[in-house]
Amino acid sequence: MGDIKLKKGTGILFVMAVLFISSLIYLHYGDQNTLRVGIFYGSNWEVPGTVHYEILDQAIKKFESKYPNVKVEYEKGILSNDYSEWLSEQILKGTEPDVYLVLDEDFNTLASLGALKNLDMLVGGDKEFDFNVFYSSVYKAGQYEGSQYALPMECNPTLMFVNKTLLQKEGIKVPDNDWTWDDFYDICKTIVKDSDGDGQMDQFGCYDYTWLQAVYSNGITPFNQSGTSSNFLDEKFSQSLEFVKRLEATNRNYQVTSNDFDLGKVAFRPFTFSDYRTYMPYPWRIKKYSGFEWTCIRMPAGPSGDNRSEMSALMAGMSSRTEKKQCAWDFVKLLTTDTDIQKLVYEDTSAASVLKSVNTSQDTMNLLNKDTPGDSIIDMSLLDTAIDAGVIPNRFEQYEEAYEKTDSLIKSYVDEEGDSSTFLFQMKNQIDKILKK
Amino acid sequence: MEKRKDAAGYQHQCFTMMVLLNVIIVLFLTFTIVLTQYRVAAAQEAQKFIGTLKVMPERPEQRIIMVVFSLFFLCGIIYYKRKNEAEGKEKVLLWNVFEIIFLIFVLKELDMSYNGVIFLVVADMLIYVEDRKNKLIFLFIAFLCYMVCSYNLVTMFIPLNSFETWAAFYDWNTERIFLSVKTICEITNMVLFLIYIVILMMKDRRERERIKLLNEQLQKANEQLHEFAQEKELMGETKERNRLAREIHDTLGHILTGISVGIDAVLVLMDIAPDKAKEQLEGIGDTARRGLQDVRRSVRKLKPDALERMSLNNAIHQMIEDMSKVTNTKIYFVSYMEELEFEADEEEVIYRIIQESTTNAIRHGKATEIWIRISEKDEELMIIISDNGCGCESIKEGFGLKHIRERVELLNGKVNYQGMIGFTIIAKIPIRNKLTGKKDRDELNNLADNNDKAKDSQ
Repeated sequence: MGDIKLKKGTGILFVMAVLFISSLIYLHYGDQNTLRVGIFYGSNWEVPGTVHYEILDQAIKKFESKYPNVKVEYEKGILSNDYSEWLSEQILKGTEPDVYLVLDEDFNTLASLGALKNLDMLVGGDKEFDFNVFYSSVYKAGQYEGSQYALPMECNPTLMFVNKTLLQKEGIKVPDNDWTWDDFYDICKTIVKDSDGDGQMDQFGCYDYTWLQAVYSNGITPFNQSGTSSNFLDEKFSQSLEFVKRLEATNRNYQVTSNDFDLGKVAFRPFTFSDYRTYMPYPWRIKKYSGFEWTCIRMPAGPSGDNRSEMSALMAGMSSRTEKKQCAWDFVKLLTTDTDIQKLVYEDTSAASVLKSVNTSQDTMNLLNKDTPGDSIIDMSLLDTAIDAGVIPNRFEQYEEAYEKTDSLIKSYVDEEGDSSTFLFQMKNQIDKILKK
Repeated sequence: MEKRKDAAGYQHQCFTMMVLLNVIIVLFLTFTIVLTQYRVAAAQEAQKFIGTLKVMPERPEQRIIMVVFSLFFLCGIIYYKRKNEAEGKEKVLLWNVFEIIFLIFVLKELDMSYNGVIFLVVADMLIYVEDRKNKLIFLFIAFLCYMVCSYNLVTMFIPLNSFETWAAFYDWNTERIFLSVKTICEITNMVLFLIYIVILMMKDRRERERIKLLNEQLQKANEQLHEFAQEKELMGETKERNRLAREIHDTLGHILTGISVGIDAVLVLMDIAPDKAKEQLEGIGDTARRGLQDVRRSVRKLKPDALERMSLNNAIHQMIEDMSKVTNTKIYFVSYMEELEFEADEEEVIYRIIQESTTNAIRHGKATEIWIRISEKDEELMIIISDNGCGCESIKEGFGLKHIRERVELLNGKVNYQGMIGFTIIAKIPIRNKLTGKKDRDELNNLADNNDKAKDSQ
């Protein structure tokens, strides 16, 4: 009797053990032949007309010819605004795709959570892979605490838009790409005037030039790399602030609006590359800026810096839980380092490629300057140097909060009179408290 | 006795409650976390919520599978160990290792938010730690593990999501209910564990007291036994003395009285009627001879052993017969010698060897057949006693074997044993001038017979 009982017990134990192991195996290796990709519809640069699906479909075609057994799937219809929430939900539910696009504002959270796979081993172990094909500025955007977690796929540098018509009217030459704050200030000062003599200003130097742009071009960042303290007490920071204040003063208390720019009343406006790409060609160009000729150049350099500007990036990473490591890595590589796919970035999106070779090729230039009228052509070296010198801010956990707070404090400071050193000291105290949370 | 049973019962109840409570807590925490994972996603608050997490949460299915199966195996092992308590130490150790592995699985899946399961496993393993000192050391290590495995400590080195983070998703009231349920369960578990330890320690102490008491009783009984033995020895001595006295009185006394009275009569008759006196003396002679026979018979009766009553050959046969009858063992005795007659001390040794060996074979070897062979070669007597018993791999000389060796060595002989197949004893004894010995005895016997005859003829 006892024997039968014991045998029954062992039987149950055995069955449970088999169930346990098989369910774990099913969970981890159940679906080896499908590679899931996370992608969104529309553009993350807040411009119309971008669809990533075409790039992805081309990449899938190319990938499936190399891995005939693997089927690549992606969910359509996730809007770029909902993408971060969608991805977070998938991660919570444990159903995140093997490969997914990473917005630069999400990158830090995903890397610190461990949701993104650390790519150091794959990067180091892959002889075909050479990170020198990327601009080092964009490649660094995928790094967290010294390790690579994602590879860049697209980037979007900030450039200065110049109203050529207005400058010509005032007899001013369009500045070179290595212009400085002084050049910028001088032009703005001369251009502000009441041209039709109705007693109201109707020509302005610049619109939307922010303190942050000044800071970047003066060789400094608002917060340190690890996001633990602010750099407000640095000489370069106060220089930038003073410059913005001086520049603001040239508009003589008139609040310049985007409408003024659209009407051709403003000489300079910082724009992202994707804005340029969206509004420059037909038909957007007709709709938005019809009254003037314009071009873009790099941002002006501060006394302690050079012609740097902020840049954002879209990256591709893989889930740390993926069981198809090699497949996923190959797919990430295909999206980011394949020149054919990267060329599609210019065809199907408004962003710029992250590959040096693509950005300096004649094909790309032809493509970019197609549809653009007159001499508003983009210069090959402009894009190359702007991306190379782009600054991608480290989006640490409190970045948004710290940035918003700093921005509002500085805006009120610029509008009002006050002692800059006291202000900066107080601001540093406030912001460092947020950073140390 | 009744009290001890109670303690064991309470201990068992306490442990069962701990098992149940831990299963409930672990399942409660696991399902709360997993459901929260889905609810956060459904509420479209994932992006905000993920910002509060320290590390990417485990897949919900994975967490459930790991916890449910680990709990099942943990309880299964505990139940199995208790059902089969008689199993060897190595097996228990192996089970304990598995138990710890599943414990680690559970702790890991709960992100160390609840480590009371450690108490359950400690409570389970504690009964397999024997020594009191070891128990305390084990408890100390267990408490150390409990502290090391706490969320607050581990999270300093490895990022973990605390249960509080998950509970914080809900509104204040729900969060408070979740956290208080967890705290109450944790405290209850700890209290149950403490009760369990106290009961175990009390049971332990009681057991030790009982053993001490039993030891004392045994000591007492031993002393009594010793006294009884002494008394009995004394009684036996007295009884023997009485018997001796009775024999002497009955035989020697009677005869000597007859002889002394007869001699007195002869003294009177000697001068008056010498013929009559002669007749009388013959009568006294008869009486004396009869007396002598009586004395011999009495002395024989007083002798304890068969050997002293009969020849070695007969004594051995007698012993074998008795032994076979009583124990149902077949004993074969073969002598390759013409006669089995030796010096008294040699005969004694031979008899004892055979007696001891057969007794051993039956008692220890559980033999059913015993062969005894006696042979002689080069003035050396060889006795081989073998059996079909279970033998033994390593021979430990007990009392019996030691006696045999000592006796044989006194006669300059040698003893060998081997216990691989059955058990075999080979004793070799040099025989002390057998012929002379025999001659002497024959002569002595003859002499005695002659005397008897002479007396008879007289």
